[in-house]
Amino acid sequence: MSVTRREFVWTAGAAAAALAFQRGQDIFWTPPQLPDAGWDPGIESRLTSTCLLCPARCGLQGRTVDGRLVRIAGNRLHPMSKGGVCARGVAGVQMLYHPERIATPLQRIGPRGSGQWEAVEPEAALTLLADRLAALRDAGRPEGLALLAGYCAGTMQDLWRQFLATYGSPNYIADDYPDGTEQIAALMHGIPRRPAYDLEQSDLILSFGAPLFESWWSPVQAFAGFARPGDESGERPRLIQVDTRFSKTAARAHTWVGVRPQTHAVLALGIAYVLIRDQLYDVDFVARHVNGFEDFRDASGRLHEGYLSRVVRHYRPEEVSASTGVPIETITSLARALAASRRSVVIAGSDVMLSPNGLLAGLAVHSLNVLMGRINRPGGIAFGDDPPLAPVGPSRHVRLPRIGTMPPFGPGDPALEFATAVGRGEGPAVEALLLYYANPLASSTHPERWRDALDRIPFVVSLSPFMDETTQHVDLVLPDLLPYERWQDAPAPASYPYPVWGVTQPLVEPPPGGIHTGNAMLAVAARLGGAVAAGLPYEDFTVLLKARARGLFEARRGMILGDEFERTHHRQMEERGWWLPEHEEFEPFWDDLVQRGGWTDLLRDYTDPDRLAQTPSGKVELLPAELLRALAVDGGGRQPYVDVAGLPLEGDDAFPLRLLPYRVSTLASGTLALEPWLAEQPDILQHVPWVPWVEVHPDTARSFGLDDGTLVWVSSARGRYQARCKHYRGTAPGHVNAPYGLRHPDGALASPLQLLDGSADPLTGLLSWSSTFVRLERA
Amino acid sequence: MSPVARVLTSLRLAVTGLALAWHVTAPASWAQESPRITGDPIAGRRMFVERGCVDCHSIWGNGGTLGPDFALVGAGRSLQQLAGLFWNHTPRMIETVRRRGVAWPTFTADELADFISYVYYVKLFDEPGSPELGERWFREMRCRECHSLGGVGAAVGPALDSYARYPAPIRLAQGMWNSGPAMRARLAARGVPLPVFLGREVADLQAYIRQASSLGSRDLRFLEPPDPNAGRRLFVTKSCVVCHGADGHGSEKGPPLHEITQRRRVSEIAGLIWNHSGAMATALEREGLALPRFTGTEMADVIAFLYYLRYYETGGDAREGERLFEAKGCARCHARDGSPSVGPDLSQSDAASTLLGLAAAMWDHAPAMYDLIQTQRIEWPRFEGDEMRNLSIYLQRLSQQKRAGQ
Repeated sequence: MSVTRREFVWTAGAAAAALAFQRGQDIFWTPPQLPDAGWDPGIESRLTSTCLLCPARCGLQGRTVDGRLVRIAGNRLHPMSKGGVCARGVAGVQMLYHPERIATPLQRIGPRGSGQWEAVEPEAALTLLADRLAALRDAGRPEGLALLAGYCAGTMQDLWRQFLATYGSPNYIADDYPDGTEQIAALMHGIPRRPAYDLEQSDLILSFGAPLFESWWSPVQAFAGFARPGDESGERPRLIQVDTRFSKTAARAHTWVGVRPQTHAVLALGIAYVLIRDQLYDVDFVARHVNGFEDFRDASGRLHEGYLSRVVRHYRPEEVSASTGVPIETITSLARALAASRRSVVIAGSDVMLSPNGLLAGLAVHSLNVLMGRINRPGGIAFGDDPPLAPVGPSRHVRLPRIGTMPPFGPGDPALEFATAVGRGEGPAVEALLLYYANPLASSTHPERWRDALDRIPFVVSLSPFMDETTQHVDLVLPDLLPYERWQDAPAPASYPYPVWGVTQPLVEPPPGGIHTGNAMLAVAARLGGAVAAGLPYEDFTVLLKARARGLFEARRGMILGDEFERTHHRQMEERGWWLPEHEEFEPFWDDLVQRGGWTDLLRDYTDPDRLAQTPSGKVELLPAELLRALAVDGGGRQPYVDVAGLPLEGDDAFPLRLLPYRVSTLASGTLALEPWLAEQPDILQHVPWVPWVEVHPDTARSFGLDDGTLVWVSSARGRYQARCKHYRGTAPGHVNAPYGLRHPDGALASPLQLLDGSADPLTGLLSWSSTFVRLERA
Repeated sequence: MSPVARVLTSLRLAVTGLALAWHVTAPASWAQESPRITGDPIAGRRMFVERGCVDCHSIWGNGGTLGPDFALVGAGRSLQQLAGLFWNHTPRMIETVRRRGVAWPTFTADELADFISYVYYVKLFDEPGSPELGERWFREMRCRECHSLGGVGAAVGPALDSYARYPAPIRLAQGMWNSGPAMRARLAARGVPLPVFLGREVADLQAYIRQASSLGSRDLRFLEPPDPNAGRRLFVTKSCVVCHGADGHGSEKGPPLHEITQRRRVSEIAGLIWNHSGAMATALEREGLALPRFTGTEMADVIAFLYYLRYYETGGDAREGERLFEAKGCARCHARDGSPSVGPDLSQSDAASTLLGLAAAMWDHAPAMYDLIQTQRIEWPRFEGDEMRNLSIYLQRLSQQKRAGQ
């Protein structure tokens, strides 16, 4: 029975009147028969776990009543999230009970995409998968197996890699979040690892286009750095956001510096100019630990212009101001703020890296950290450690090339490269594809290439627990359990300056017939036998997790998650060189670890030279030789610290507005329509619930006759989608800011990425998100 | 079982041992041999958090700020003095606890032993030294004339880079000790004076070595907390007792070590040991003994033992204790002869038969005593210096006499 609003108001009014009439009489709010209705108070329990909905991997505490998850809160013992949890984490309850969830395996019985499925028993589904893989291997074509995997750092990723390696396939295709910072670290420091940012100890965070509070690696890490109390001098940490739009991060920052698209690095080098001109940089650090600052000769005797000469020659504040739109006084004040700070850190964000010159721009921004000596220093850039887990199994290497081409300094978009090659019939034939938390028909910039690729692959399996766009076109669905039903581990992202190994444990019972993907693949490995079974000799995924945790137990360092006092105490003990053993046996250690939510080791070693640079010279290379070689061969004349701005593109009459896609904090990665709690708060600044929108400066919108809230087509040369036009003064005139990952209430995707013109940084292969022009038309 | 497990088990079990030792030993023999060290410092650390002590107190500045930092107040005080210290601050704590509306934390004798052991134990762990000072000491002690560090220096002795994987300076001190005879010979041959350490210079040197070392990809090695009971055994097996006597009380050949180690931390004690290593070697040679070598955590264990000498300091003056019983006003409420009194007759109290039992009973009943004292307008009795020890011994003797009479 449905009750209309009018009926509800009338009923409530009548009840109030009745109560008033009965005043003085006995009222029994709990009639005696209520227990018979089955409304007894439920049995409550609380368990710790770790959130798997974004890379931040925050600590959780789930509250269940009678076995149903009713609330998700934060685990206060987690060293970074400290009891905090974002809206997305809280809304996990609605994901768990989502009506579109697939609980049991499905086998396609009609044509692909017809939506005709037949439920199959898990055992039958596993047999089907194992038989197909066994046949492929036995036919001598193991390289015909490929896995497309979304972000799954930790033991699931290691399990997949071990499975593929022992099976004989090189095709682990990552479909996650490459951001290019790993390549910067590899080139300048010789450390092929994404840098970590010690925001908790920084007194000045200078962010170049990093969406710290929205969709960065860990928004809670940004909050932990930003919202903490001041230091002993009472100074609170300052955040300066250099951004093309007045974003949520910009709104929270102490200072927002608006900058033209693709000129972030120009501003960075303008700041470097002032630091050098006024001798405000760390002269001692540069002299002792940096190569390439002064002009130098390479091994062949050729003279190269050094960083100093390049900056001084090209980035006078007047020129920088003209290019970026940032006033000269602001450039100078930014340099002085950096110089006055004792613990600054500079972050190159996606706006920098996802541009046609992303790698060179990223190098330029990061060079500020080098100039200020902020590498492996408290509050600066760090290169963290992985938790000392025991290996999954003996390591193996498959001597075969992966499908798809690779750019010189980065993976580019391996998923798109793979789809393109398969769609064109290039490389070895792919005969089986597994999809693990990947939905390329929705998330790819080129879904049409994925359609072509899928058409050529005879056996496609989705492990998605939701019937997303790609899952609709597979042959077998073997749905994973949801994060609140399964065991998993959850290592913190590389942006953390210390390792955290979170544990995810079931908060509720899984549905009948549901099967954990980890367990499924271990079962398939056992059925395949041979090297695969020998490489994964685990009864189930929990046994594997425990086996890995023995590495933590035997490391004789670190701690099981604890409160603030315990964290500090353990760190202080380790600083002094001592370690307090809390458990003599492994089982109590494991039980305590699960109960508290994980393990961490908070000590940072600021004296290890390998945490500064692992280059052949042992120094930070401002002008890495391999980069210079690559540019000399195929750089189109580009030079580091000279060609860092984007291409001077302007729109035309057909497509006059520059498109700037961005991720929102509630991003659902395109797999699932937002849960209601998230759909109602998609972005605090725009207040546009439930529907996708685009932000346009009011003057620009009016010039096209578009009122606030008008439904428009956003069109580029590649395609179009519908969104609401939101007047927003935080958008630069002539630009369209477009959130990515949203859907209409009917589930239709609104993806600005599918409008991108395909231009990319040739060095990293990363697509440019700011080179496409669009037009807006009333829908 | 690991050394730490051994010490934890032995510490916990030894609570009873300590009580027993006090109970059965005649007053004249109290100073002869100390019992095994009592209390489990790791259990005490947990208690520090769970009982809410951390809300007001800190360790190394970590924790509350209302009360003193226990790592500072615990330094160099004996178990008895710490018990007295805790007692002295109860009125302020009672008021604070009541103001905050939280329950008064209570302790059994074992728990109090754990807790006090923790407060005492943490002082053993030095904060890292100063690399800037260490660089100066390294230069002034002319270390580079024999050792290389960061690729600079001579190769007479071993390169020091590998010590960078140890944040604690004890491994460096142990390495120096073991190389002592060779070092002394080579330094003498080269005309380089033997280094002499003052204060925390060993810790400073270690901090500098860590900073200047070229050792990359360091797999840091942390030491498990030293075991003073193992150190006590080593003190015998390494022949230290030959000169310093049982339990370090000294002999005609060597000084007592109680006072020397008081208020000093590991690196400072290690420096002192090094400074006297030449004389020690000579003395041992006279006895026909070789200078002992230390492996693993042995030197740390011995230093922990020396450090704990002051902790379980026994002995005391029962006569002074009796005077204190009167002077501090205990006699106003507590009888000693079975006669009726406001508080329990302490001659018949099991709790009073051990120091920790007495301290725990006093602590647990402090709020009631405080209220009573308030109504009678009596000043809260305070125990300074060795007063708690003397009072405890007096009460233990009362208890013994009572039992002997029965």
